[in-house]
Amino acid sequence: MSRGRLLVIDDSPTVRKLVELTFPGTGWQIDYAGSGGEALQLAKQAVPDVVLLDFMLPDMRGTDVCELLSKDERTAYVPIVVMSGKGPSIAPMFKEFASFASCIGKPSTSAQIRSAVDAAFESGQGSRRADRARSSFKQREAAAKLVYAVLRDAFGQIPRLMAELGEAAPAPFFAKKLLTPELVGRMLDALSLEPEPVSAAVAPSARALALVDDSSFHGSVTGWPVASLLSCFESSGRTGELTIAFDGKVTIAYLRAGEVIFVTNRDPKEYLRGSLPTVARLGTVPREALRAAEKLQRETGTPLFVTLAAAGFFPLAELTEVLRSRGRRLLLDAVEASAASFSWRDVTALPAHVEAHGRHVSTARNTLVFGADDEAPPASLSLKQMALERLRQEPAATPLASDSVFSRAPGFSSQVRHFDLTGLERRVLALVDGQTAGDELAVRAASPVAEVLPVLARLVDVGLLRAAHASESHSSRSKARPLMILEPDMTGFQAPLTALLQNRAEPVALLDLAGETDVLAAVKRAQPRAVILNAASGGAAETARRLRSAAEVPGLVLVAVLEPQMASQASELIAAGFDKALVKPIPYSEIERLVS
Amino acid sequence: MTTFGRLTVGVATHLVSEATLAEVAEACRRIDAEATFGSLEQLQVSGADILIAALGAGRRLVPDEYLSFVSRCCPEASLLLLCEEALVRPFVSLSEGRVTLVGPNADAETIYHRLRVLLAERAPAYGSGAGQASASWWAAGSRSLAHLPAPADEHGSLTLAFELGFAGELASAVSPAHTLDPKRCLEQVFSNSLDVGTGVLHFAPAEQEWLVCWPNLPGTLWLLSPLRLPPLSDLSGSHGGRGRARLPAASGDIAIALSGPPREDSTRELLRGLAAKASFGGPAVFDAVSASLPSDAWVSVVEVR
Repeated sequence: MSRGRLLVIDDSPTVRKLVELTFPGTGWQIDYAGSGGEALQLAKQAVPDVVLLDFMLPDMRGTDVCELLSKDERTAYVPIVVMSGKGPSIAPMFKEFASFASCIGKPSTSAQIRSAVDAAFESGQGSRRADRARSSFKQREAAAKLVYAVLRDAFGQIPRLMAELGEAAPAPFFAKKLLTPELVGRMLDALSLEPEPVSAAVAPSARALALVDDSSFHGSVTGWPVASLLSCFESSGRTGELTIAFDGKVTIAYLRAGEVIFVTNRDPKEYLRGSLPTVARLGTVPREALRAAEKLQRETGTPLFVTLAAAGFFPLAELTEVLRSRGRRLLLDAVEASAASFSWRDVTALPAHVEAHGRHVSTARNTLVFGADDEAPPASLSLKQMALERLRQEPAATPLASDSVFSRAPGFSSQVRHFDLTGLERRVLALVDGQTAGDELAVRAASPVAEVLPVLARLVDVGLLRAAHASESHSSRSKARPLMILEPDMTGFQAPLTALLQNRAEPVALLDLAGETDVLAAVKRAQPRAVILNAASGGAAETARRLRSAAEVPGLVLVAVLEPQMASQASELIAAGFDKALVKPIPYSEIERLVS
Repeated sequence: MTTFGRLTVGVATHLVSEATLAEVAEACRRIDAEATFGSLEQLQVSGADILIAALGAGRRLVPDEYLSFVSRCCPEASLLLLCEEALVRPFVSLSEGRVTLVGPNADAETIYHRLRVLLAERAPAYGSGAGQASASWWAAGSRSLAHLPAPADEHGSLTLAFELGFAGELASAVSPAHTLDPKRCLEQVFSNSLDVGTGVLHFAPAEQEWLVCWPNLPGTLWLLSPLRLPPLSDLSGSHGGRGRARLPAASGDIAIALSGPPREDSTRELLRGLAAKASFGGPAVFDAVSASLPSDAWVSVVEVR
């Protein structure tokens, strides 16, 4: 028997699995969202009975999610259980939200999660009944006022009509005189919903877009995907130009009767990204012609291929396909954005090149369905996976310098779950270390260089890896802010810490402050991200005060390490300026947290 | 699925290299488990107490088919996942102990000791020294831990109480752990009325906290972890430690309680051995310490999973 619907908002696979194993057979129907944006969309599609919310999400904080949920009347009453590493101490941040139910630590046990969710569900049932009653009363009261406003004039005619009543039956007489089709029509109009606003953090409905009379308007989307925006325009049946700005990029989509038929941008370099074979063909184009085409694209958004084809430098027969391929790529990037601003303008006559080469590209949530000549991708494929699939079918995408080295891109762990990788792709991902070039990686992967380099290229293209020249990589690593330490225990502290820090994806150097007569000068020189001082070495509090008063080292994290018998001095050291006082034996995770 | 006390281990061979399969086979042989190698589909037919499988390089998600195996096909089974992910070091226990991730390049020794932990959880009556386990901890004593309240209380916490004797007594004369009532000793710790000759080690999984009460007597209490700085700490009052302390617990922590300080000549060697054994977890440390102690001394080891 179904107990209710639980929406788990957490990007941690571990928490998902924990929840999965916590609720089997309990009747809970569980939806998972990895980000605030995804959660808001899911909550609108199927209103949950309880929300289990991680405080820190990739795209927003827990308080933001609470606020957005509370603004929607469908989700405003859903009780929310917040998970946070800081436990109940963050509860005051949520007190303003009526839907906030409780706060549990992270990690929590299955029993704690189950107990909190059940308690929230029970409380939600009560408040939901009350809310429904309140909401129902308010709706009826508002409806009564609207009906009265419409009928008021009609009621005013009753004294006059009394004279005409005569012997007639009053009810049919007044019904016929007062409840005219026009009056009933006005009553129905008055009771219909007001048009919804277009902008802000609430998804505009297709109806709202259709009702916007302005020929141009703009807005922003936060907390819901751009794909929804496109769906709204698709349903609105409008023709015009939609400009979407996201992540520092601008994509221009042309719609005809609501259908996206052409996508371009004003950045030729970005436009060509990931299309090595096509770019290679531009090698024979005279430089002046290429520059002129790029200039036109920067100014008007006309793809450089259109200009080059018109000048005879690109085969017309291939133009439509190339434009469509590039457009798809831009659209894939745009629909994945979780926050964007947009502007719309009605266009009665689309640009000639759009009319000539525009092909239908419809959007659906999480999938793009292309023209009839394309094989429709399975609905379960993510957009990122689709991009990867496409790149697998193309020759090498991003050109790779021979001395390129590779490292995992920021957000790797949250991104990698969107992909279904081949064995070689997985092997390559496991081998990249930010220092090894592609040919050496091929040796380590026991695969031909010709196979490994395209793998690296497409993993860069889909954002799982980033490439850098070996020299740049070395330079950036040497610029990484080190960790400075003044700790007399070499074998028990410094040596193991050095080993642990070197095992990180981005190793951090550990600089020994021992022997430095002027710690402040050493810190100014090295500009470390954090300084770890053993408080037993003496003068730690004074050192902290000096470092804190120095303007040259802003944002420095100061950590005191205390021997067990000195634990009581922690508060004194914090008062002197330390950010944290850690008592031995210190879990490495505490240091890792500071470094990260 | 345990038949006549013999553990059954299913090994999903997909993604597992031949070399690793050999290590798995050796680990199963050492623990006397009945190992079945095959595809996940084949294992679903045969069933298993423990499923050993591998995650591909770079993968961090537990595949649904593995979860389905331990939640639907064999609801009592545990999952031991061999990972090629450097962040798993040396092992990580998830979902109340149902899923154990083992770090890269797992050898027979590592797998064997993880199997011991899983075995202890499902078969506490495997005999002295085999250990007991809950979702959050594994514990073993050189003498019986049969009187352990297992799982210790409604919160799954664990309390060990030790009668350490009085200063001046020989280490070998102190009593083993089970002569005391741990629950009563813990209450006495909280009320500050504990006997001076009693040591208490309490692990509270819900709070992820150690509570230590160790008087300045011959007993020794160490905390060992490859992920702590320093990796080995002496928490006993007799060695300049704090005597009574609360400190945060972390996965991988191994508490070692000894009836007395080890012999001076063997201490250095033992400590060196412990550092190496820490990455194999509590069972390996327990074996190492037990082997180095005189026959009349005792040791208890607790690992936070």
